Amino acid sequence: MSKTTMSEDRVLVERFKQGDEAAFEILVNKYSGRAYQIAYGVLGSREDAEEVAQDVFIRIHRALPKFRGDAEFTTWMYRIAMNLAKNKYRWNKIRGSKVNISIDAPLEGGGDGSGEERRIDLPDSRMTPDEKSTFRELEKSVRDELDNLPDIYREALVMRNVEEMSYEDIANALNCKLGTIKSRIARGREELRKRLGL
Amino acid sequence: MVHAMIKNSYEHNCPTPELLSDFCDCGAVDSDLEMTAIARHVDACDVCRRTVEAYRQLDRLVAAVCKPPVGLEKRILAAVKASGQTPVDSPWRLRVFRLVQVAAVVAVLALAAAAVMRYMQPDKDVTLAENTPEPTAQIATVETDTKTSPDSGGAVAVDETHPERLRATGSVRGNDVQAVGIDRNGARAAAPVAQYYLPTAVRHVWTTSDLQQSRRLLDALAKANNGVIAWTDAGAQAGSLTGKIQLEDGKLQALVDNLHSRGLQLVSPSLPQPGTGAKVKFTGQAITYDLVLVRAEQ
Repeated sequence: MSKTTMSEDRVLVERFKQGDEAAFEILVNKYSGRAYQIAYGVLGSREDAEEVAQDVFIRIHRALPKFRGDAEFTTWMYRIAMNLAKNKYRWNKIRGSKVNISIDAPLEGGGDGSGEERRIDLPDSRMTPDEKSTFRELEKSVRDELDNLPDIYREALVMRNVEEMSYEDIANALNCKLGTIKSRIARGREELRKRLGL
Repeated sequence: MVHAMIKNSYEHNCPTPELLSDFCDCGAVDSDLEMTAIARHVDACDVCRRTVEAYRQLDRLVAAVCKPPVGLEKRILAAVKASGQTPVDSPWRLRVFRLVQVAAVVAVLALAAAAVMRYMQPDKDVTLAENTPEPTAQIATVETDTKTSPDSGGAVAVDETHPERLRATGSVRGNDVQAVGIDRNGARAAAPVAQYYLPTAVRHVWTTSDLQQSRRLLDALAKANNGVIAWTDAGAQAGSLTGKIQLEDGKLQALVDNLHSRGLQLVSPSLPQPGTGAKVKFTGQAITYDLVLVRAEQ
């Protein structure tokens, strides 16, 4: 996390505290993806991850006026996302449900009433149709195997791929030592590589 | 460090998967020297190069799999709005809110204190009475020569014009008269004037020389207050009458004053006493007034 970003975040938080709702929208645009990815790492479900991401920002909207700024906004947000995702995970576990949805399956109801189909964008639009098809299959395999990874590996591995989330941020969010995080990411990668036969 | 890396390799003198993973995340490797050594090895070793490539491909795939859905921000903002939260509290709003909170707490505490005062003070006698074995009694004789005024601490008021001994006959609860004669010397220190609330139920024992006349008087007074006294005649033969009426607290004080001015003697010590209007805080609440008329032998 760059110092500029941290400073921008502080300004946004202050603006929000002064009643500027637009500042909150900027924070949502900037960090909703990370909240979603953190939740996804814990839950392995797109629907649950989105639900948690929404809840994260509802909580933030409520609590931000009291946010003292002792920690960075992102650190605070990661913690909230992590806690809510873990709560959701426990709840799912109690209910004995784990929703698996095909990666290509559109999600039901956008929540905004638009009914728009939500798909995971392909990383490279220059791919040929065959390549795209292969990539989609691989994506599905990755998703399945990712879901089957031990939780501690999946959490660390997904967070590693959250934009700009450093090892320190991950360690902080997961309340672990840096060495533990490095080890989990490495083992997660290796395990996934073996399972996918790469 | 570099030698340690090589020594820790698990095959072909290769770096461990952990080191290769750190190598993928540029900067995660502890030192530049180590980084350079791994880079050279990966260049030269097909196995490690494939592993590193696989890790990088996995990263891309994981990132793609975890990519947030389109329109997430819009839905989050809609959810925040739908959660029914008020707009952001600005500092002055927060301050006002906190002031209101503090005021509310103070008000609640004040009300609680008032409630305690209300139920503690007038019930002091009641509490004492409840702790006393009851009923004691067939009070045959109630003797008092006290001359305390009601304002002097709540002892039974005795009219200056009737200082003589009163003899009551009939069934009277001991608790109703236990405070009679507390201050035989009339030397009780004047209590500070305070405002008391009357309890919701008051029981008084009155002595009278003529039961039926007093009953008629009470009926007339009750009627004047738009009330009716429900009498129980069970004890009439034994020289007592029991009645019950509901009155507002202010009217009850007036009734007590009236009865007293007409020569009835209030034996019970509990408020309201004749002339205690200044001590009592009237709220207009309804009070169930149980009264016992006892024939007094003079």
